[in-house]
Amino acid sequence: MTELLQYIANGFMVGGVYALIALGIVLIYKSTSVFNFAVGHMMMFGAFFCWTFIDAFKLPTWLGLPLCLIGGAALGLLIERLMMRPLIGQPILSSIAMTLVVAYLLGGIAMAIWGVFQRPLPEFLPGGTLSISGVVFSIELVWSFFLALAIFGILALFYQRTRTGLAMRATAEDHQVAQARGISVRNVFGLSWALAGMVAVAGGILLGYQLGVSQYLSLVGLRAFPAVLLGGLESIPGAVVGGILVGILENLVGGLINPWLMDITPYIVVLLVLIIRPDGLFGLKRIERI
Amino acid sequence: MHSKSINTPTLICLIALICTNLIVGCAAPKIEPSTKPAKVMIHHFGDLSGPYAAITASAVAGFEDFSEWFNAEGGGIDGIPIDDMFRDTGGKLDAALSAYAAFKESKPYPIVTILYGSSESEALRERFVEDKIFCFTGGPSPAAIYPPGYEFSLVTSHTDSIGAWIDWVTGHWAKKTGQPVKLAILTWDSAFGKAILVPEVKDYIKKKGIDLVYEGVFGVRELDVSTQMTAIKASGANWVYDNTAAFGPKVVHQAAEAMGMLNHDLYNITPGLVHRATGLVGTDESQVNLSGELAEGAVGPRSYASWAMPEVEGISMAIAAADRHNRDVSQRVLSYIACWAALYTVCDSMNTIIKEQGWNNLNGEMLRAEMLKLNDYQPFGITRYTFSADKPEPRDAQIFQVQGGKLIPITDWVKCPDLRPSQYQ
Repeated sequence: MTELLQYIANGFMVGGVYALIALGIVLIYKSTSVFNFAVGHMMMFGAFFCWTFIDAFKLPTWLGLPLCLIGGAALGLLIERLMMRPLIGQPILSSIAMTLVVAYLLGGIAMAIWGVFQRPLPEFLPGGTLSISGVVFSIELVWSFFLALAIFGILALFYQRTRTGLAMRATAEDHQVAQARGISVRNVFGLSWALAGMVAVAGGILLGYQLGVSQYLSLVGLRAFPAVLLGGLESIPGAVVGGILVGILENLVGGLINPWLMDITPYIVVLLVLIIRPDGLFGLKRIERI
Repeated sequence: MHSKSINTPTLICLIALICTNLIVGCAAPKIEPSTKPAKVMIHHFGDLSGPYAAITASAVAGFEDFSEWFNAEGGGIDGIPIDDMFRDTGGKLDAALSAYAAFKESKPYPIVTILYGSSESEALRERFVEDKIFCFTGGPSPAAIYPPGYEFSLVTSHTDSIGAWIDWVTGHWAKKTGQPVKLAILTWDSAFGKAILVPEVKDYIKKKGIDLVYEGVFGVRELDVSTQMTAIKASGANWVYDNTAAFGPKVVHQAAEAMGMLNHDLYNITPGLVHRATGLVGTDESQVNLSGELAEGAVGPRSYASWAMPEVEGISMAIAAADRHNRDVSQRVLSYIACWAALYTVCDSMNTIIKEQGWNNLNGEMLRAEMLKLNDYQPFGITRYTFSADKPEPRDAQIFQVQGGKLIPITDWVKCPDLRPSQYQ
């Protein structure tokens, strides 16, 4: 029984990280209908920012981390202004393809600036483990989980309670109607990318802490795709639920059935769910009236 | 105005003259280039922009630094400097094949190349045999070097390496602690990681009386292996061996630490704790740098001296060169050292061929034959190369342990058991 609880706990913790990455994808899709394939590379940049500010420049953590978030926002804005904005009005496939281009571009830039070597991040999180009734939790993963929840909470409040959040929700529904109501759709796009950049950077820092900082981190972004598809591309709660569900399922399968199946479990689950609910668990079903 | 035109006989003579010149020109004997070239080109290719970039980058740095030393102080190849031509394959097979195609057309005809990855080594195996180009590869994949051809491994194979560790853990650790070895293998779900999950290794594990209580994999992109570690805890393992690299060992160390199972003290036999062992590529300074204190006490096999051994002549030379070129800690790793040893060996062999048989006989076939003569050859003490026609890979290693953030040998050089694919034994 303890083992079963341990697998579920592991799944929750890892799922928190998937949820964080998935949030970055959903934020952009919700506003712009563009699936951001560059999320993994944006996370990698976040980890490199953290290494640069705290290790290379020796800034204190209380200064370095906020600077990383500002860097993430700036990165998101730059991507939107320089790469995505010129494609407004073009077929959506062009924008999606552009995110692939952005991914390769960010990879090349990271290699040019920081090289190819792997570096550890300095330890700024309290390490160790937490044990509750025999179930062990890694403190670093606990942080990831609660950070994902905190970001989700902040975003939920932002979207529900602020005028800007309302404007972003309106833009997500219909760009033309939003524009007709005086909402600057371009500014909403910029804000979405900036927010996504900050979320990606937060995820990247946590991943860099776990795995070290290197080009590899961009590949970890791929692990969140099943979470996004499962939860629904337009749903922020879906991203969180999808991430946690994927984490739990893969750990249960790995622990109870066979560890060799862990990698493919999320994809099998997504396949099954999409057959029944093509829009994901929390995705919006769009009805077009002719 | 009346225009002049060429009359027929003149036209025929002109055409005949042109054709004669063409025929004579093509048939003219080629002027043989000077047998002593201006420089000896050594080609190498590998992943410098993909997943294995960190390993290749250190090797390329080692190549550059060695070349500079060898040309300035090492005497060159019969006085001729070496130069390198590197091609980045990005970890992609098609890029490696293109790189090979270009490399094969280079002038003069290539004699030797160095590869750094298993997949391109496997893909190009037959080409090297056909084209008679000697290849020294850092990708110790059995599919690359067997059946024996023109590819020689510059490290002990993954299977022989775990064999050396098995010999140590049963012959030393188990005897000293009085404990049976209960082994869990947790490794990357890739060709590299699963290279040790072969019948030859499992049979050897059984033969040495080790109880293999768990066998599992994790993805290269896996964040956390606590689930696998939970199962390992339930299995009662006291050793966890992984065949991964860079952050792979760190992920396993972290999970063991998170589960309260990580044992840093080699001779502490508290039940429920696990000792850690990493494979050949994981027993590397980069793993230690990334893992920090988590790696303390971990052991592993390695066929090259470490950077913590300045008493070894080759290591002190490498340290001096790395200092001269301001190489940082991330470049002072196994692949840098391995490149030094491999290059020196190749250059020394070339010098021997030239001295005994002249420049005209310096080719891939002769280089291969010269390399086959190597028996306990120790390039500046860094490693030991012994090759034979049926086993073109080194067969000596030491067991290292992470002590105070450094890789320190805890055994002398030992002969690895022969765990080649059984059809080649």
